[in-house]
Amino acid sequence: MTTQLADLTHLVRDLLRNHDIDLEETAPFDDLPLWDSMYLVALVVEVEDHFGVMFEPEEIEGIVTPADLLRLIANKRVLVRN
Amino acid sequence: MAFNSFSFLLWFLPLALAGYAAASRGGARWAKLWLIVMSLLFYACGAWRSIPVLLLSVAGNVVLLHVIAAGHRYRAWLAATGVVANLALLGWFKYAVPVLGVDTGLPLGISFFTFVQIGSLLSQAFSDEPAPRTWDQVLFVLFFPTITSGPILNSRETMPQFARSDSWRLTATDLSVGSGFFIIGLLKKGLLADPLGPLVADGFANADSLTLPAAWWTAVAWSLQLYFDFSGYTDMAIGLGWMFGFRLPDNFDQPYKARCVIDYWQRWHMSLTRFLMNNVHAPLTLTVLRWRRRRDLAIDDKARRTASGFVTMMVGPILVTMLLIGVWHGPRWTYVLFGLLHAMFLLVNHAWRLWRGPVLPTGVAVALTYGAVLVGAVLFRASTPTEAAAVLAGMTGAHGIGYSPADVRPLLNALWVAALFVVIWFAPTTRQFMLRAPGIRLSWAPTPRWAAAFGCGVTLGILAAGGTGEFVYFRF
Repeated sequence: MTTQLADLTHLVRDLLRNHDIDLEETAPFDDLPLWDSMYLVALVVEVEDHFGVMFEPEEIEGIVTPADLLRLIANKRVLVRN
Repeated sequence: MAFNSFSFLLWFLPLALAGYAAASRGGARWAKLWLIVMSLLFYACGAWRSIPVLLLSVAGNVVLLHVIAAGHRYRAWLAATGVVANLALLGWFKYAVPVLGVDTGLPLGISFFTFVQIGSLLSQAFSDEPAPRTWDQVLFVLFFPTITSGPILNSRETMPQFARSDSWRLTATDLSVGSGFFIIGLLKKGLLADPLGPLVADGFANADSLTLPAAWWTAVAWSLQLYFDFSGYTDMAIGLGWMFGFRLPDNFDQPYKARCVIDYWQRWHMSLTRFLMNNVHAPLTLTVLRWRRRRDLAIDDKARRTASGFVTMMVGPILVTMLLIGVWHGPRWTYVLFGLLHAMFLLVNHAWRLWRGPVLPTGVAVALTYGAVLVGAVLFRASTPTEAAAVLAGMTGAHGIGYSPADVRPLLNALWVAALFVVIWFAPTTRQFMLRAPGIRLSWAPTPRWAAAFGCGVTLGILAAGGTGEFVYFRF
């Protein structure tokens, strides 16, 4: 598991208060128990805090799996560095 | 011009297909131009007086898209201005009549083409891509299968299909799959939905005297009519898109099998729900959560279970979104109440999850959800809150619990409703059936047997439709 995926897993565990969760990069967030769009937005805000990036509302629509979110984070960090 | 009208089936569609086949020999440009001309003709046949409003709206939004694409620093503000202008136009036509008493007439499909264009503006505002090519955008908005009643297209998902430069031609596969979708939609409308129309109208016309069984019959029949009518229309739109080589989004995924109201809204009028979730609910929730974060307030499950957390993070965004769904349908108090009622259902549903309520057996969960949806459907159909209250009172037995000669429905009607529930519960969706989804026993195949079956289907569909029954969602 990459460090970023591990960080993401911790954020999701804290959010849902369920420490049995293990994220897989390509498994949709929707497969998580009780997951819905509210949690996705909350996760985005947690990610903003944790990784120091900002998302546009339009970007949330395209986040289906942890891989989508990690890709967005990576792109934003490249933009910040440039 | 409705998809089930003789004029559409017997001259418009054959002409559109033949012309498309001919135009596509000249390349993508001619094929697009042909579809734009036919889409305008389709619209003009139903509402020629509204053509100036439609063209003004499309032209204004195309200009705005280009301005947004060019205006790097002010994109968000320009998009916001465009959204306000679109909503003002929609509000004027939807609310001018009751509020100002001005009879402007509602332009056909304005709720749909306005939302499609708002989606395009917002998508452009947060994208580094150049503005779409003018004629692609024009066709995207005017495309005749979707302009009057959706599905509401998502520009990021569908626009690439309109912008492609190759494969603008008819193919045998697209035509056969598209025809299948279309014929199933025609049958849903003509054979399943329309026969319920007069009975539902009769029930609502006598709302004050409906006994318990008659009131339930009326509400259940209406819920079935609405579903088969709108999903039939959507199948036809998807089929038409498919015939011309476009893949349009679904609107229904067996909504009456939903296990809770949250699940229901992920299955009912999905293109509208998705539009509002992406463009209203998600941005509002994001704003609220960031605001809480700035004040060092938690946003996790525990915080949601507090009164202030629940109100700010859940009640606000859901209430605004569902109220908009109600108001979007038109200037009626019953639509507002419909939105508020579903907001309440959703909040109860979220609270149940947050406080870890017990998981109900499937049968109980589905029945409870359908019951809740039924109450909302009565509000949605009634012209006034009083009429809705009368039907709902009837459902509780306030007007008597026995049959009376006036409201006893023939056994045939009861059997009809039972048969429709069998279809709802056991039949695959049209998409599953046509695209041979895994695990589906009965599915279409390009064989002579299915060709013969669809041949009979189209004949039945045309005869049943009779070129008359208007689609419920045409009024929006």
